[in-house]
Amino acid sequence: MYIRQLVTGTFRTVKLTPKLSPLTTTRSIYLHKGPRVAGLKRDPQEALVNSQGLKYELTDDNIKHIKTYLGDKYSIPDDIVLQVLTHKSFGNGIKPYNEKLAAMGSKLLSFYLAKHVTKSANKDSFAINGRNLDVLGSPISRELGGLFTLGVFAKQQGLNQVMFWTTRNANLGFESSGELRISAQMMYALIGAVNFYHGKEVAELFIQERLIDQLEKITVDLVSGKAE
Amino acid sequence: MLRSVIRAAPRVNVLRAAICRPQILTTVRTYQVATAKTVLKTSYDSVEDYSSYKHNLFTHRLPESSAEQSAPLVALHSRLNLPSTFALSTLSQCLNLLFKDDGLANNFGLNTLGKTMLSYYVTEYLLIHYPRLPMSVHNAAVDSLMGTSALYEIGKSWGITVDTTSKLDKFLGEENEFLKYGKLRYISDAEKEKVKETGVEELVDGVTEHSREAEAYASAVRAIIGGLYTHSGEDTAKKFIEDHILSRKIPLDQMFQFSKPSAELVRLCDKLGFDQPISIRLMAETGRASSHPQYLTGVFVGTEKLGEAIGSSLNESKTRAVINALLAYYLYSPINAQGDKIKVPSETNYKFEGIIGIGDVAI
Repeated sequence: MYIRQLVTGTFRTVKLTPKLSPLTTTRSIYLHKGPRVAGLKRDPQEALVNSQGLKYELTDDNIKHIKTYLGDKYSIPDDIVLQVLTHKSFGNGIKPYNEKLAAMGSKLLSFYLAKHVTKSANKDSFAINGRNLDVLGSPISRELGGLFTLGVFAKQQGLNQVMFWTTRNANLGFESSGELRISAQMMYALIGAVNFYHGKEVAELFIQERLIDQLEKITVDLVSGKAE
Repeated sequence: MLRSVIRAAPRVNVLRAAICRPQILTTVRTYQVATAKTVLKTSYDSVEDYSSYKHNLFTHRLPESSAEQSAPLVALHSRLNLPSTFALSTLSQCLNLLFKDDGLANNFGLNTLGKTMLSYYVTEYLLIHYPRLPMSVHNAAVDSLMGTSALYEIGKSWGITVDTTSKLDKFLGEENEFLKYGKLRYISDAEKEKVKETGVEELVDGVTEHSREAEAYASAVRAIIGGLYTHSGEDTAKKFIEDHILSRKIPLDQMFQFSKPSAELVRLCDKLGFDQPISIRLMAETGRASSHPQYLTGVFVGTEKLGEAIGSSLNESKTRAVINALLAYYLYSPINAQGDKIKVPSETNYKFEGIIGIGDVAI
């Protein structure tokens, strides 16, 4: 294929007027469309589209699932919702993505769950001050905040309908395409964002009110081998 | 010819099958479900009845009356200024890593609880105070605050000592039987009795005597944090973490390594959506023709200066300036209107004042 055939892009001209300088310089940037060519800048209109063909932008349609789910009580700013929905793989990481939010959320969730599962103790257990620590490290305790549970949760609640990420093959299943992992990370990021904006107390209430019951159901099925 | 046609036929079929294969493949489960640690012989009534879980490997916990008679244990308790609610028996359990110690419960659960708690508070601290750290540096910072070697140093500084004498040696030396409850127990009796050649170290799978010791100390420190949470509540444990772990200074600026600083800065500015391109300008110079020239270079976006540096060649000063600009961005730490450090989500009356990291750039 000749390079001439590949070049189907548009030219964008940007006028630059520095505030303090009377000089005006003009920059012409060629934005390439079509197949990837090393060294050419791709047209964002074409590059920033997810596997469903949705354009990356802050629209009500893109963020409405998360916004309705959070409600007023746990609301977070719109641009942060978009960041929650964006994975590092999207657009080679050029848009704000959810890695840091997920780091916060996953740690908070593990800590909350550790407190949650050790809350009560049987009489004959080796409880310390009424807390049964023997459950920690068991499959249920480890899977409660695991990727599978959170990924399935996001799917069940329809929270992962719009996500911005790149997959090797979108035709593969929920798990093998990587959607499970990305959905789980999105959920961690959501918890993290609530923690950032409302503080730990409210974020823990959020987990308690909106997540824990469903997470327990999914995990019990997973651990006892009932999950599909 | 006929043979070759026959031989070719199946290939065509394979090709057709490949083309006609439905695009949506059957779901393959690749997810590995966590498994139980069998050595603990954990039993439970039903999977979701958390209170019924029990490690049957153990038969008992140390009675408080025995723990009180251990001098090093009482000393450690007061040295760490632990609250009176923190039982000595639990502190002794924190120091026990053995799975076979006459049925005495070990620190497995306490360590796990302590680790999750510590992870949260360390992550929260770094994410709020250094929101723009690249993930690799963030992870290195987490490691330098709560990694094995950091906790080993802390454990050592607390004066925890290792129980190295075997049962037989204890008997022959008429050692007080309660003494061991205040020491770190991770070496089994059989190992203690092994005759060791001085100066020769056994290395199995990269695990040395030193790394085992370090891991044991770290585990004890985490378990003490877990124990503190269990006995005295989250606020006390949090204060303890702040005093002992988060108070340590970490050299964040030395954790960076840039392979292509200029490319990274260009990409970063692209991500931040600056209208104007980056320009690198020579601001001042002296002694170009001498053996010791000095150049001062600045990195600009439009009229805003991002960083500057001095170097003894044009290239050096340019690279230094770019790195300074990158460091100034990555190491940013937000402060509030009063000029104090901003609050973290676990504090009371928390209000978000900082920023959320938007992620690193790929180069």
